Amino acid sequence: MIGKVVHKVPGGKLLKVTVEHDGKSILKASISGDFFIHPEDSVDRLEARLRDAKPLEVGKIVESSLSGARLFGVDAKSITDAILEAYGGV
Amino acid sequence: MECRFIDSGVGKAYFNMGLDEAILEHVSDSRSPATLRFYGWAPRAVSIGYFQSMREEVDVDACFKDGVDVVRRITGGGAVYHDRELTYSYIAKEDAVPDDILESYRLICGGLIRGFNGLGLKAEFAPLNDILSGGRKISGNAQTRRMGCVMQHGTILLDVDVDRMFRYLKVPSEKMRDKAVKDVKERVTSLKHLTGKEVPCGKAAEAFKKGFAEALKLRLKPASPTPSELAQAQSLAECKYFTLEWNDKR
Repeated sequence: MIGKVVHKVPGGKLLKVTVEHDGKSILKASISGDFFIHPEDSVDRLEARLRDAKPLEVGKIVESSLSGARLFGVDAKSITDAILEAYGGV
Repeated sequence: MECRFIDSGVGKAYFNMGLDEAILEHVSDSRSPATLRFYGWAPRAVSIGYFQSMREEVDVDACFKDGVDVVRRITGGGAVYHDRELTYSYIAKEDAVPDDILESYRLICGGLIRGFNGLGLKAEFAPLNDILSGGRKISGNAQTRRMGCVMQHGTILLDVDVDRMFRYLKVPSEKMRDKAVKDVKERVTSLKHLTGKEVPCGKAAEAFKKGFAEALKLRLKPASPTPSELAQAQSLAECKYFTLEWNDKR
């Protein structure tokens, strides 16, 4: 199953999230958009860590994956919300 | 602050992005000083932000058919059609700009605003990363922080052809294409539109060079990329920016 959401972050940029899952955990999550996150490969690592994650774990994984990163035009809560909405919105 | 000024002329998209990254690495380990670089694009190109999906943002087939190059940047931000524009990059150690990202955009974009002023135009910084003149966007900018450095690059629109731009950039919905094109026509402007005449690239470059020097308090020294930077740029162009692995990574 695949869910997709597009969010305009309030005061920020466009955030697009696609989540592929089996109803129990995430198989694959893709996070894209015109926002800025430094270092950029934090998002690559976040996507890797979301593999096999349960919905309840998403918030912590996003927070910890982006803890040392600088976010501009997007925030961790928006990313978490978009992932969960994409998961639930199938 | 001492700063190199490099006018590298027009280049291919892959080399342009490779040279920005090569200079960044050389500034990072102090092999090169802070650098302001001006450049252009030939052939025309579309660049997308690091986090964007190539297939969602760009009609790659149309680009290929028309000889328009496509490349992913190492900076975030949106998709840009590079045609009649002057592009700049400013690369320095991170302590040369405010730690706060918005304030660092404001500082560096101050160079652009002074440049527009030098051409007789009013302009203002529009957070998060744009410059407006006459209420319409005339410059978009993108920044990265890595290896203890800041790199900001951006566009200065000499002229803009929105219909042509949307031959290559996708719109969220084909049903909304006409509206999307109309909206962008209303929101985007260029030096040609604002001044009512062609502004030669050289004249614009002089104005913006002076603008950056004033805003960033730079003592600019004309220079060329070093052989080491050029070799690394060529390698990055071939082994990274030209590859599907990089350009289709999202």
